[in-house]
Amino acid sequence: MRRTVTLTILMLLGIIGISHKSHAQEKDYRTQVLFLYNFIKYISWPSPANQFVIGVVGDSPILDELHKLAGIRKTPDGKTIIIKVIENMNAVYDCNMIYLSDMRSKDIIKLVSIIQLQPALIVAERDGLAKKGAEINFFIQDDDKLGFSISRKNIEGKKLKVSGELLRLAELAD
Amino acid sequence: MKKVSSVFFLLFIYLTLHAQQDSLKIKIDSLYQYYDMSLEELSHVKASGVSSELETFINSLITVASQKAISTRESPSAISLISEEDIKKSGARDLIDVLRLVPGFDFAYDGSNTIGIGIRGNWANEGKVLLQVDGVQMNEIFSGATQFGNNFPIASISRIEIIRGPGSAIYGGFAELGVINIITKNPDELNGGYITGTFGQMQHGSARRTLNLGIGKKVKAFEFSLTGVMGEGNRSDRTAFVRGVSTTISSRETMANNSATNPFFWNGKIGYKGFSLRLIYDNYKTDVLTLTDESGKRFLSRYTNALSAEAKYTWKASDKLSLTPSLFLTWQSPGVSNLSDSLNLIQDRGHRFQSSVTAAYDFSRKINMVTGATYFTDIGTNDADSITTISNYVSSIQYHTYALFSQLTIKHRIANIVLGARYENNSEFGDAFVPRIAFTKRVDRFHLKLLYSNSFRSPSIQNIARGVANTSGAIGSIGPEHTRVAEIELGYQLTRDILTTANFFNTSIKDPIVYISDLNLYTNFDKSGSQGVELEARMKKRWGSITANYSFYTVANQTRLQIYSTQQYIQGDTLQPSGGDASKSTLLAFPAHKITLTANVTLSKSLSISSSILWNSKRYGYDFQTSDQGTYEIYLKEDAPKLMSNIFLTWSSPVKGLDLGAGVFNLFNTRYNYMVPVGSRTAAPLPSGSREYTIRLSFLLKSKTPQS
Repeated sequence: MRRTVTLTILMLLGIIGISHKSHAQEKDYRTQVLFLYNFIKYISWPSPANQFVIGVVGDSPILDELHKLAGIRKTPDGKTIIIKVIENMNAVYDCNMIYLSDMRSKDIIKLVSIIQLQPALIVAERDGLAKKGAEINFFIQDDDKLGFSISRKNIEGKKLKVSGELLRLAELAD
Repeated sequence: MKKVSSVFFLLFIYLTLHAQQDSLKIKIDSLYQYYDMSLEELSHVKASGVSSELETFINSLITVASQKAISTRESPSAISLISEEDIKKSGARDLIDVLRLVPGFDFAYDGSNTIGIGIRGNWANEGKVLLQVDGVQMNEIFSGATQFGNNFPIASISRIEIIRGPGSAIYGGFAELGVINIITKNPDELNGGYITGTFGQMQHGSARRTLNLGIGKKVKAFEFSLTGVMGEGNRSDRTAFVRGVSTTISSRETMANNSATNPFFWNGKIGYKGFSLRLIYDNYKTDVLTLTDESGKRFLSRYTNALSAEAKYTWKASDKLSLTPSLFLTWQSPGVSNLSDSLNLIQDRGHRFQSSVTAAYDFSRKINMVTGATYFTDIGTNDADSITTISNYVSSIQYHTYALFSQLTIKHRIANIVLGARYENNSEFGDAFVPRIAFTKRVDRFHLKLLYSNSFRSPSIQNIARGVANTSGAIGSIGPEHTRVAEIELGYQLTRDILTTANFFNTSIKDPIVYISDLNLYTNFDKSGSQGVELEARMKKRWGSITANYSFYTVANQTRLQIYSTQQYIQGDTLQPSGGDASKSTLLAFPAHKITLTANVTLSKSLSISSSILWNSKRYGYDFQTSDQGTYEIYLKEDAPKLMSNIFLTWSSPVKGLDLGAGVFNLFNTRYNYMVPVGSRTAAPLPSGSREYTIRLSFLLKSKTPQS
């Protein structure tokens, strides 16, 4: 029995070793970027500007995908999309949207207190943060579909307008 | 053992490299178009991007393990999922063809004309594995047994969800070691009808001539369906040892056209909104030669003759709460008769009247509770309105059971947690309480399951009627058997198309209920169980799928139950040494090692080929031999490792809905015998059939009106 267990563990380690570069079912950040782009489409920001700034808190793989988006698309109303890495939280003021990566989830309270009622949409990667100050958080459903929760209270507080179509797709956090 | 592991290791490497090369060929969609996706399309997007064939399969939601829809990788049990496509392409003739490819599952002969199932080395025939068709229990309630071999309508199956471990905390008494949940095509899926004829011919006799039929339709809120199978078949065409009434007579007789396995199974449903009524009638008949004497051969004939009805209503009280009251009734008159002596007919009757209510409440997306209560009465009689117990004749045996069960599922970021328990009170044998706890966690490619469950098997009517306190037949009541199962499952998705899993288990059975055939009695023995590992690699792509698995069990570290072991057997009321050089870590009838390899390949739009290979290590079982003096005597037989293979070709004809299938089963003409797993059974192994050529013709007629 012990030999069987040892062989099995060795087998698993071997498999992991030979396959570490192959693609498998893990988080696809392109999917999250697709959702972020739709948030831009279906949410209205109050202040007109020439560009739309997306800030990313944390060293997340989503940055690569966001840069790809910014390279080929503008917002539906023709603004250039700018991607900004947030290393210092005080640099979030000019952001229209802030993506809070999973590993920096504990910074939500600090982020909310800095932004207060500025019209910057906080989208959190971690489930549950729409109840802790973010406007939107992602979650993965039982069948692996990507879902998102929206806090209408937080969104309205920032004078952002979200379309009914998007709300129908969302889970309401409050 | 090392060779087996090496073969698997090489296979895994091959599959991985193959898939990596293949993935490079995948064309990536234009990013620009990708961001134009509509909101409607957005709601179907997976968190992991566009799902591969495998991901679609393993992420499909199942309910068998928790009653809450969860994907296989996060379900709180060791799960095997078999799709309609797998069954259809493989040409599977019956459930044996399907289930023997499941890790840890195997079949054996009960010595009395029943092929039953074993799980992880443990004989599970009489009430230790629950078989459900559309939620309706198929186990015969008199003994708890389920019979296999050319039985059940294979063409009606939409999918099979299998728990390879305990399910008592949800399902109660018969789900001690496993659950087989067969889900047939619902009216919406049928949306018309089908007819499938199967013809099989073994080397020396007919194998089967069966007809599967199904019709169904959903019209607005109303739906109906009727599916079933009827026909005839033979278990084997090889010769079997047939005992004489006295020990000086024995012979080998052919089973060709002599070993009937005739299915007759119908499953009807009508539904309106949340209400459904289901009726299932099963009258599976089998014959086997058991005795020979001066007056000729004697057959043992069995038939199941069971009618079950379930009415239930699912009331969605709110988005969060649903209530499902149900009524379940079953009337069963399974029969055993000796054809050459019609007076020797035993017709037992078992009835169950059950009412249940189940409530499911979603506290949030992450917390769900399912709770319920069941009350049922089991009544056993025979056709003379009296039933033989160990001490006297009584008009009937009747007992009542009430059960409460509850399960809490918490989906937390750290892990999914399932806590559940079932409490049962039986008027004959008292209380049983079975808790379960499960942690499951999926991190990208990796998944982990830590599972612990108590389980129990309540004595059946027959156990109570013929139950004694010990192996000597002392008067006293029989009790339930209790099982503890601990499992660890590790899973790793090598690529988008390949999933590998390793499941380690330890099953410990206390007070197992065992039939002692020499005494015609049941009693609780001391302890039994097994431990081992099941490995599986599954690759699924558009062109087809390849699945390989390996199962291993041992009883080396378990308390060995003598009657299941190869060390000693019971004859009369005394233990006899087996006299054989038997492995100490293997139980009777079931091989320690099993390897299966299945491949389905789509050759063209209209042509697909499927093949399976099964290898098992040596097995042990008792057999008979004729001595120099002409008498027959029992001995322990070591059955050499066996290799079996099937191949099946499916062709979709230009006529819409018309498919033709042809295949060869037992390609190598392996002389496989179902061995007897109980050391008190004075029966020889039952030979399975020789090479079988099978033709299947099926016609699917879909309604012109679209599915609702």
